[in-house]
Amino acid sequence: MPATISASDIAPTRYAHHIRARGLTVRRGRRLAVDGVDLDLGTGVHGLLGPNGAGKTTLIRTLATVLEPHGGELELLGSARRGRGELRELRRRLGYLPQAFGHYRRFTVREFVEYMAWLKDVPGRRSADAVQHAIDRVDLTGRADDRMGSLSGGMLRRAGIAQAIVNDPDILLLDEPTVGLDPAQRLELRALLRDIGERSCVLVSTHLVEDVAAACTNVVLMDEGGAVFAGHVDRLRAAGTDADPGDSDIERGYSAVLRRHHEAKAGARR
Amino acid sequence: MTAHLSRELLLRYLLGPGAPAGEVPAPGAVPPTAGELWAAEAHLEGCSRCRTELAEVSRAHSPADTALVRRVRERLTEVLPAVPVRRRRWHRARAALARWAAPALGPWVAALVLVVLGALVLSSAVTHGSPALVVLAPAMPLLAVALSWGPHSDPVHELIATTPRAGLGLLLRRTAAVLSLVVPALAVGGSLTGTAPVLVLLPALALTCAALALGSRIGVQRAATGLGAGWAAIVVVPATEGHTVPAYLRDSAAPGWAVAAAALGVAVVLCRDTYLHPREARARHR
Repeated sequence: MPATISASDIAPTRYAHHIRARGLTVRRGRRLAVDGVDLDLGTGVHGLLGPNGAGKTTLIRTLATVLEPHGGELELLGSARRGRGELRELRRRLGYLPQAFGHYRRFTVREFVEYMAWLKDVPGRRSADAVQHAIDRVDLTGRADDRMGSLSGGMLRRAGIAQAIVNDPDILLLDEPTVGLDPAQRLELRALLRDIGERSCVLVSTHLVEDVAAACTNVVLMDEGGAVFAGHVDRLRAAGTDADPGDSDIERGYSAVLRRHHEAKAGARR
Repeated sequence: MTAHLSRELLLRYLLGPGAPAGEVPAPGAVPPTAGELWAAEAHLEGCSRCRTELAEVSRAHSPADTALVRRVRERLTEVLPAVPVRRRRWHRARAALARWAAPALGPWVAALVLVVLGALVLSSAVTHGSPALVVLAPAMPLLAVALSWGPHSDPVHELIATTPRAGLGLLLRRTAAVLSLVVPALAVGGSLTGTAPVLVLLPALALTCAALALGSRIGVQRAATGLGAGWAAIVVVPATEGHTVPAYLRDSAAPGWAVAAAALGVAVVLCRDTYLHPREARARHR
């Protein structure tokens, strides 16, 4: 069948950044889990770093349209989406892997990815190819017809990544995707992320600094709900001094930025 | 493109633009441009009739190409794993079923229990003189299903919540699946025990199917709102007049509702392909 290209496929993008946030605030219970975050993320792989409880997961869930922001501005793919139709259009172009992601044990990998493709409005005639391609990309081809219940943790995570990329998303949000992967699989995932990051905006939350060093071009560093650093990886590397704890320059940079942030806060309180 | 390719163009396509003029038996014809050959290829990809014709032309004029294609095919069938047709069909049936009823035991059991309980409560309300409660009849199964598929019971809830299909359309589908199990079971049970909770659920099933069928044309939100308003008008107006069981909930109305539900169910199945992007649906209808 000849490939059909519609006007919207070749329309120029009318936004400078895939994800743009100004003073983004999200409340979880009584706490401000995300407190006034500014983001400008375009194409490329962006790492989201921070200690546990810094608000990384809440931020990613907000970007994935699970949570509503309570304050500030959030523009995804150039639209401050609020209408039902707009939200649906936006969600077609999102890929999301939650940190704790469940599955139906009786589904095979292929059925699971197919079901997610259907939920994401991937057109039926393209769906089988898209599903196979996504499964191939995460290296689960040999297990595609096995039940989800029979997979190991690392394989499940890869199946989760397959469903996230099945619709060729423009924004790909991955919350701790490297948990449970062995070193070889992590290398492959980094290569996959770099590949997707050529055309899409990939945001990877992780607490493993070396993942960021290897796969990401930009880093957003969060602490206590705020973004304390946003910029190129090399700037984070340069921020550290030999006195800071850490085994690599990027770890030292991470420690230094967090330390300075804490000092500045303590100074402001005094 | 509706016209099929001419034999001459097929031959040109087969032999390539650089073929010596003597081999192309069309004296005086202008050789096609590269663009025309591209267009011919695009047409061939989508048209099985022209492909068959191309195969014939190839057998007659270019046996070397035919032999090459056959060798490739033989090699591929040796290398690729054979998937039996039956398994493929089974797989497709399972995938289609999953779109109506995802294989999660907990939410299913909860929805079945809640719908049956709701039907018993509503039907006893009708027989005990508060027919106005029947205004809830079509909404009750939706509520029960919505409650059963929450983040606490559905392991994939977080993933599904971020997909474009999440929302009323998915809820209606799941409700239709639950009702199409509950209604026959209650009909059998009711005929044995002499109670008739199924009479409350039949309109619910018919309206759910109607919302899905209409929704494929005008959007599920609009369809559900319109049908809900219509149902409320039908129920509330006679209910204010007297306390008898309304005509549409008597035994005699049951076959009518069942036929309506079945017809609308067929309509839903026929319309299933139009639940696509508006753009895709247009492309298919063209």
